[in-house]
Amino acid sequence: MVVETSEAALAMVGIALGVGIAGFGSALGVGIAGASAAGAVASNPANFSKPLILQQLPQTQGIYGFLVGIFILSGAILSGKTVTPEMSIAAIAAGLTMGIAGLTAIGQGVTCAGGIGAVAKNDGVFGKVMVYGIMAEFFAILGFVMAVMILLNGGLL
Amino acid sequence: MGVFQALVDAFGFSGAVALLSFVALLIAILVAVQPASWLLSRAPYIFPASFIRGEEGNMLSRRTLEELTEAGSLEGAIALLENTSYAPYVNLEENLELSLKVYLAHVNEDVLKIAPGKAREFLEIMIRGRWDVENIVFILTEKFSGQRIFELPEDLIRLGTLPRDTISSLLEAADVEDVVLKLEKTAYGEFLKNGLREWKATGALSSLIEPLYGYYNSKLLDAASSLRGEDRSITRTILGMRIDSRNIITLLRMKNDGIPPESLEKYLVPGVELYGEVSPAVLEENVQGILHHLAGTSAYPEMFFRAIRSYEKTRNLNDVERILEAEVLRQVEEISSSQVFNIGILLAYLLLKEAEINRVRTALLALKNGMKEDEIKKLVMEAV
Repeated sequence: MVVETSEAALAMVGIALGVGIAGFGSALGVGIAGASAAGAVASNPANFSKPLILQQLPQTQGIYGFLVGIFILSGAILSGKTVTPEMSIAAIAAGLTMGIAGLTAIGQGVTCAGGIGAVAKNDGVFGKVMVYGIMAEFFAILGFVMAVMILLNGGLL
Repeated sequence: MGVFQALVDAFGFSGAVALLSFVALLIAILVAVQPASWLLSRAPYIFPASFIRGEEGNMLSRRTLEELTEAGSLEGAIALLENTSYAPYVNLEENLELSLKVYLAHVNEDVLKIAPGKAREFLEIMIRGRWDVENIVFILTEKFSGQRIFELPEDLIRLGTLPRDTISSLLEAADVEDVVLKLEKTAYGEFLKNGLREWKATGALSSLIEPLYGYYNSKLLDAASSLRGEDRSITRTILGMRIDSRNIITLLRMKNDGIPPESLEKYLVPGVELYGEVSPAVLEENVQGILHHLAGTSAYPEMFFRAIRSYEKTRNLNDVERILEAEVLRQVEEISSSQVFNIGILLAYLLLKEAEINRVRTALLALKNGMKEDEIKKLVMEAV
């Protein structure tokens, strides 16, 4: 296995950015929605399943970040390729793109928290607030697609 | 490229990639800091907001309130409330007035438990002061009407700041004046004593009750200054609307009770919007004159014109009070739907729930007293 240690280490920064920041976003998003779900269930224990579904929405950004991390790991480290400076820059760029796009989970968490409140008041609006929650997902998906394209162009996929 | 290399060398990076990595990390941290700091300030309200929304979901709908007015009998109305949060508090054996007060006290207590940090400190002053005033007014009113009350529910005393012994001695007071004298050494003594002269001259209970509310509302305005940012501005908006409405009702009631114009100003709470509209010349006017003046100068001409029409038709200040209250509640409802993660949602719920309990109490007591359906409907539904 021929690996340029310093360039590979820099590629790992890309993994850290992608997984770490997106994970941070998801953790905050799920935490916000979770606090809201706890409020709803404290008011009425029957308010459990629908708030739970809404609480899960901000998790996806963390999963996208994890996937980008896996792609970089397999493309730069496990594949046995020689990692060039261009490849390590691509890894950092992809990780940063996904990481920042992963912060949409915070906004999604706030939307879901508001939505959980709305469902606690009237569970007939569940479908509508799901749509609001999913809106923020669009930008996370764009970030994920762009990160994959960067990795493809950087020769890491 | 020369500048870039110079930067790499100046900061001691091993190469261009290392510098880029450092810049990328810096950007990532900066991007994360802003949402995180916003979140830290709003996060304490996330749990209470959903809890309150859940409680709002349990509030009575307009249709249920209407059905209550059409129930035909107290038994029918109580049966209608069987599957609601009112069920533990309303039954034929209970003193409905007191048991619904206990329900309101429990609602206040629940909100106090979930309120975060500074908001809790403010709500504590608001709720504890409110139950002191409420308990004193209740005892004064009962003494005034010659009722003999032996006990106040523990839940009502616990929420106030007056000790149990003081409340017990008030309950044992011989008459209204005795109640005032027994409160002499409390924070409320000075304000009650100020009203005692007018009470003796006119026999109007409002000259004792209104200074209490005036003191309480001034204290709340002061307490609101301890809040920060949007919590402070929303609290001042809601309090301002309520105090404006209270000032007007106080003014009209005292006018109606024959309190002389020169004594009126001291009963009004300063520092709110409509206070500035009440000049000494306005204090000389009669009820209609005051309402006409406010309709011409305030931001709510339509509300005052409705109040004027109603007063000219019935000569009843309770109708005017209901119109003013309906406007305050309409605005509070607007605040409740737009202010999610701040103190606004807690304050709005407290006010809207209190208004609902008042309507249920009105409907039940009206049914108990055999009032006609259309009269009950007018009393209950007009402010919805």
